[in-house]
Amino acid sequence: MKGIPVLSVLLLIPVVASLVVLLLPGRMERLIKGFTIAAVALTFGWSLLVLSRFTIGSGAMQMIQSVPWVPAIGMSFKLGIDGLSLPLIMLTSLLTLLCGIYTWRLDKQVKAFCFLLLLLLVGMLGVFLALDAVLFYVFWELVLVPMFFMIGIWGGANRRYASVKFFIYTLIGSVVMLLGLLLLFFWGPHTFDMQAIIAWGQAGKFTLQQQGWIFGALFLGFAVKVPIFPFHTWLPDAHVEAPTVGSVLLAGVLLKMGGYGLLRVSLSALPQAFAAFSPYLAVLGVIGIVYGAAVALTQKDLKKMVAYSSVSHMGFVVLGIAAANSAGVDGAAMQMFTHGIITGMLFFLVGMIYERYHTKEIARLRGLITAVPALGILWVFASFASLGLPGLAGFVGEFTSLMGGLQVFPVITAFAVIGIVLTAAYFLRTLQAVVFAPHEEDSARYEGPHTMDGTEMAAVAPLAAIAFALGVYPMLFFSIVDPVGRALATLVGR
Amino acid sequence: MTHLSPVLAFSPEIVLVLAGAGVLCFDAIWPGRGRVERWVTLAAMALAAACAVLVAMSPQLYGVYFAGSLRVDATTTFARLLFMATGALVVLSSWGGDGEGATAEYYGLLLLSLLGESVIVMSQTLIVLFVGIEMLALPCYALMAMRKHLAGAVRAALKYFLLGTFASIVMLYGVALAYGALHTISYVNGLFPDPVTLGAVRAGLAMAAFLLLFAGLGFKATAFPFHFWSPDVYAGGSAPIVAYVATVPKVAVMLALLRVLGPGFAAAYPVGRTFILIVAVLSMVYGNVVALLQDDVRRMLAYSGVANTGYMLIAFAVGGAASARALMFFLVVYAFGNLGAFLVAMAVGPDRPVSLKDFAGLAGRNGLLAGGMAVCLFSLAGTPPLGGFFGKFALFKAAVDGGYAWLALIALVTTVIAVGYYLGVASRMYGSLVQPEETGSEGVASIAGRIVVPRPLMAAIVTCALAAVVLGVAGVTLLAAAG
Repeated sequence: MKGIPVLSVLLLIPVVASLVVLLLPGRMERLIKGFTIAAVALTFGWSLLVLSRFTIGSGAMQMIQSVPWVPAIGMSFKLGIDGLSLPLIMLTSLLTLLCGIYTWRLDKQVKAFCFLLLLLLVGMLGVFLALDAVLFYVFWELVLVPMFFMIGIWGGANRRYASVKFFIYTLIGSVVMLLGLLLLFFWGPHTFDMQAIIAWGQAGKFTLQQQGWIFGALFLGFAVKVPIFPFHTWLPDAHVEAPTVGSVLLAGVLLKMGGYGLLRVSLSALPQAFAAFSPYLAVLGVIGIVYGAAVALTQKDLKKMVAYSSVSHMGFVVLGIAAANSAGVDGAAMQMFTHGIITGMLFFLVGMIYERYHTKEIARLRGLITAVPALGILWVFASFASLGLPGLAGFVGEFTSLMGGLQVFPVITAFAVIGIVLTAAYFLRTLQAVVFAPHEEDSARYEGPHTMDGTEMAAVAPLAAIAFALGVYPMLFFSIVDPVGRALATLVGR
Repeated sequence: MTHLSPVLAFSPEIVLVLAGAGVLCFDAIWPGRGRVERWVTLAAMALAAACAVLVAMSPQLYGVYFAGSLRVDATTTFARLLFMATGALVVLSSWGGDGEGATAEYYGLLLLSLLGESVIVMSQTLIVLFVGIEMLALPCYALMAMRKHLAGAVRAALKYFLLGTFASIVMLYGVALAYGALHTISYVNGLFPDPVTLGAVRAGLAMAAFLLLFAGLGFKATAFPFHFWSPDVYAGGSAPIVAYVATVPKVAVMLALLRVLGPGFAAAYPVGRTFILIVAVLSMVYGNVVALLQDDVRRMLAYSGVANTGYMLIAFAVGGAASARALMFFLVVYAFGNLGAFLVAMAVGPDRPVSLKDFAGLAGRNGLLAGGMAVCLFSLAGTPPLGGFFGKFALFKAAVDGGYAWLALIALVTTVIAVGYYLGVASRMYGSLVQPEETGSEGVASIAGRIVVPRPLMAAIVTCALAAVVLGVAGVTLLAAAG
């Protein structure tokens, strides 16, 4: 096992699998689906291998591998992981595995969908693995294409508008981000090696003015992706129109790319600019928390409600990052992971509800607990996990982020409490109506079996288990992240 | 060097002349339907490409020939191979059916226009450059008009001819002024010397010459505001020739401009640089914004061509060797992406204008065609990991390197605008793959029926798409090798 480039293989498995899918005849749908599930399962298995070889408790980059690719422009194929990227890689491979299983239910254009799913996996893993700025950007953009097609082909009635808006909106952010990356190159060490750039920045070799410009350019790219208020307007459209698998990965993984970028590039390489800007970032985070929750409360569409809840929950991530102390960074990392797990679960469940009732309108959904008891119970569980019930994972991330925020921005953070109350309100409202309220005259009807089938169970049960396990024993997670959190905190002296 | 060297060094061009003239004569003696000629044409292109490779493998053949008229070097080899590849794709694309692809004149003129392109790239004096441009243009005028039964073809050809001639005259006037100012028309070492050595009056005259030359070349390359002919001509002309004219001459002219200006022009002539900057920015902004408003796909691609010329001009405004290298890579990816997109438009509507709604549901009517279009469009849009991304990346990086971060920002933002119309096509092609569109009017009319595409045309489209992929994944390595 010694000489194997573990991280490259992780990336290579979905690449090869996607090419194989492309070559399989489109008629053999079951074969394609089976193969895809095997491929994503293998990727997940390999990511477990990566986890097992990871030295927990170290804040350093590990398993680095670097091959000069285009020396003429200072670009290399460099991969590596640390405590910050490892959880996100685990999250990516796990959620994609569950999405692969859920894809078993798909019966239209299976080949295209499986190809796009694998391509998306390549892009998502690549973003978290890349240690070269150009490579990072390539994967960052690569993610857009499969998601564009997923929304544009399998999406709802308004899919064309939503998919184009998603693509263009994110692209505006990322092209400006590209300019920021180029400036890191030219004002910095004249290489795209992110470790070299970070070392340059931490040595204080960027002037404050340079840091300001670069920070602004990068911020736009990351802010659109997170999304940070007021750059969030693409998200509800994309989520509502996206198919279930698209929504799960969009919320579960794609949003994390923004938070990851803020920590990996902005905070690491531009600490002074980050420190100067962090109060504003905290304000935007808290606005996101409160605004997202308030808008979620007014939604009539269940899926849109979950989408706005994402805006709110990602606000905690932004707040934790802005605090930039060890509690804040740990909390942000935790919140990113748990949001992926819990919101992924919520989107799966919304998809299952829609398949049964053919509506997502909260006003017409009633009596889930009697119609499909398992689904009802899982929705209750996911809601409580999401609103931050102590003992479940969502609480840990929110609490730690808030703790980090309170140490640095006590006044700003205090306002976040409003968001927590509103969150409880919208989840309890839907629980009361959708799950427990009796059937009414004009409610949507569902006459099918009262159970969930195997693929549905397989998709959400692992997520529920993790949400529970992390809530009870979060130390496992923190032992991985905390060394990085501490190291980042020292950069801004917090 | 022996007395045989010129023959060997120019063997690709000699092959083109013999084949082009031969095809025309052959048809005059034994009138056929073009079946033999198309094979002869393809074989001639392959042979010319092989000769170009052989020349490249014998470095002693590289040099300046005929009293400083023509230069054979790495750029020449690059251009020869690219021209032969794109020329072969155009031949393939007009293979099926019984249209213009069936006559000997078509093939003969195509070969001769390729010769003109080679001359443009190789030329080392303004007169030879002018001759090369005419050698390219005259066959293209005729080719454009060849399909007489097409309603717009003759009108498009006439427009192309009249305006093209006008541009030639402008350029010729520039040549005269250049001679007056510089006392030479040779640009073996770049046309424009250090202005200090010229003195104020002659330097001013040299600028005037530059503007006229630039206008003439800008016409061929469809740079704003010299692009005005292209939307009409592209929309009305015969489809494979439009694909050809929209792609290959632009490459030739850009390479010639590299030689004429040399790497130091931008730094030595601030006025000239400012002019190029203005044209570049206006081309990017105007081309992309107007393309967004088009309904006719070929017009859309015409304006996208204007915008892409703007991106190319960045290399000239920045100057230096790195941006020249970036430009050459960009030209390759642009050539394949643009050719592919035009060929798909031709496959969708060979004999008529193609509007956006013709693309509705294309994925269901011919999956391979839609896939090829999607790849070409995403490459043009500059999406990684396709070739187009690395082309743009190299150019924009050169801009930031040269201290033009603001120019890179404008270019990046206009790229986003461009994505708007490229995605418009992509989302129309795929939007109704799984479920019908609810938007009504659009899409319904054209959904019906599978599109049958002649195999050679499909092969050409697939080649373009594959090139976009390969240039992305492996091309950056090529770029490194070129440097």
